[in-house]
Amino acid sequence: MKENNKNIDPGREKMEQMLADYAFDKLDYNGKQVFENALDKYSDLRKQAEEIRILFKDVRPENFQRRFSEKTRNLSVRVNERMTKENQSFYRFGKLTKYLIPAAGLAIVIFFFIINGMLPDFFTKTGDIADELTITENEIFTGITSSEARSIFDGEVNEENVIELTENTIKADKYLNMDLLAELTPKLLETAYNEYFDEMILDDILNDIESLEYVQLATQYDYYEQLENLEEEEFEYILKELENADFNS
Amino acid sequence: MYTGVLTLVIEKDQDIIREYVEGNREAGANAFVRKYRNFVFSAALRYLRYFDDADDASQEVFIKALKNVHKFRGESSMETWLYRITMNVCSNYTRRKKARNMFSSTNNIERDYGDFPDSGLTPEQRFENKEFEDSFMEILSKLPEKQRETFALRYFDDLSYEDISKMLGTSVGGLKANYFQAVKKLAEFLKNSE
Repeated sequence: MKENNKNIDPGREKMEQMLADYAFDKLDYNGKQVFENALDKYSDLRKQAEEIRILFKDVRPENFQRRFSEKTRNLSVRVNERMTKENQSFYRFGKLTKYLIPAAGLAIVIFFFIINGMLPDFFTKTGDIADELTITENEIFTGITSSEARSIFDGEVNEENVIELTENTIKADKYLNMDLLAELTPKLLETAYNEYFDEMILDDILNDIESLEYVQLATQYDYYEQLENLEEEEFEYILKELENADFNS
Repeated sequence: MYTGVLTLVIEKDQDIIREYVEGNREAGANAFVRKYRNFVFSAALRYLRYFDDADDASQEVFIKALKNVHKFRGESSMETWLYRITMNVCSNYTRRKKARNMFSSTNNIERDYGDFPDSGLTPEQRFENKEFEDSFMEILSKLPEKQRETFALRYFDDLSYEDISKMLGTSVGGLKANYFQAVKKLAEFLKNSE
């Protein structure tokens, strides 16, 4: 191996790359042999290596390591303390996320449903809310007797019966303000009439006008088409008729 | 629980990890930190330049590493893995510090390498050594990052070029060239300071 290494010239660039390791005695056996054997060709590198070795003799890694060690003497204790603190806060936060946040979320969802009156059936079928709804429903329809209700469908219904039935129904509804209804009725009628006029009558009139325009156009088109399709004899006949016609009379 | 003896006994990475994950957590954490504290701290110090910052960052590095140590598969060396975490933590630390300094009136430009603790030498030796080492760290910090890191990891931490290559993402040939350049510049400084 030694004989082989004698003949190897790594080149200047490689020699420079090996120089520091050689100076600090960090080359392996083979590397050292190669470098030393090639140094004869690079005498300046030999000089540099010697110089580096002398200059760095006081730069001792162990001195720096010792000082770092002194500085980091209690690092493991501080790391353990911080990890314990972080674990504790994580445990607390874990409890928070496990119980409190789902509970708050559920409360928000229920509140949302209540506000929007969208509680699912199983909430309303039992309990106080369902009872209250049933009571209100009974109170509203107490003013209508079953015979009155049946009379609507039995055929012998006159105008008076219907008015009486309606009045009874309105009176039975304790939530309906009769004074307010009386005040609003003329306005409601006016609004309803206006809407009816706009939507039904006015629309019908406009539709009729549009239809008439279309019919007129269609008629004109029919005349034009008939003239286009006239046979020669028919056309002659029409011309003769026109000559005989008296337009002044 | 006293964990000192156990900490000294555990040396191999896999034993430390097993102890931390399956056995005595505190003993495992102590052994891990003790083994790599100088490596992490010196890397953080080179990046952040302040002892207090390097200390804070080192704690953060070890906490992150210990939280994820069960994921370490040994595909790279532990130093490589820790070095990456350290650089990541230091980078975030610098960003946070810059943001804080924007709202702070204090402007710490001077590095505090002179804050090394005492080492048991005579006062004169201590002073001379301290001054020399501070100066050396100062000049080292002025080198380009790749040269600085290559020199420190090779010279102080005695790592192989293959490991340094994984850490810095540079080819072995490039690292050797960086190392040579760093040594030449530092030699120049040492020559002038004589």
